[in-house]
Amino acid sequence: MKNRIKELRAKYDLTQEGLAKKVGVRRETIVFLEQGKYNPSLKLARDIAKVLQIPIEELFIFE
Amino acid sequence: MTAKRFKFYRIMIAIILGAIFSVSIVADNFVLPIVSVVTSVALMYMLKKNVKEVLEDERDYEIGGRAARYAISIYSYLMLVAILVLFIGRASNPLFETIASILAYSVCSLMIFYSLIFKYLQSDSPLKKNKTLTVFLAIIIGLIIVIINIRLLSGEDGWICQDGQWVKHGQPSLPMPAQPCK
Repeated sequence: MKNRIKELRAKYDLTQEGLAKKVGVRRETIVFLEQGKYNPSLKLARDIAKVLQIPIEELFIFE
Repeated sequence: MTAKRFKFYRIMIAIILGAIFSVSIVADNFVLPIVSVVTSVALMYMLKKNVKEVLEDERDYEIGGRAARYAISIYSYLMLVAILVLFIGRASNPLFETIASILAYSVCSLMIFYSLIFKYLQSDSPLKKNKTLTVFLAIIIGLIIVIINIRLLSGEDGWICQDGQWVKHGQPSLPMPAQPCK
């Protein structure tokens, strides 16, 4: 599963630490998410999509 | 408090606790470790409450769950081998049988605990809504397991301290205790 977290984070000038704080996870989790090494829970996916102001299905791309 | 500082304090508490345990065993004092464990748990709880950063998240819980499952499986298999080796070698040293029994009961207890907790988390039990009742039942089950273990491990045959001398009770598999009988 790919995602557009890194791209959208840059668009909103958000650091990994900043995004992590907003969604209540550790920075390392954002790092692993961006690298596609971790599949988030539905709740975390929804929270990230909300912060990055994008529908969840556009943020995460299933291949 | 930062997460980094909290982790430092956690390591320090673990080191101090380890040192207290070692000293207490040597000094034959068993009150000190109990007091220090309770104190350190309370201290850790207070320190954790002061941390503003996120210490654990869903990824840590997922990894923790997998790590626990692997650890239990690997530990159980390793202990099974160790128990068999110790039982085979019991003729050379009677102490091996006792060690093997202790290991066997501890592995069984661990597996029972794991199965009970797994069942509890898996089911839609009404217990989940009542935390006090859950903790109470967990303590009762824990106590029952400890009592059964003590009963099974104590055995009928052993050495009894009588009038300053060690006296055989039945046919003890262990040699006479080395410490003086008071």
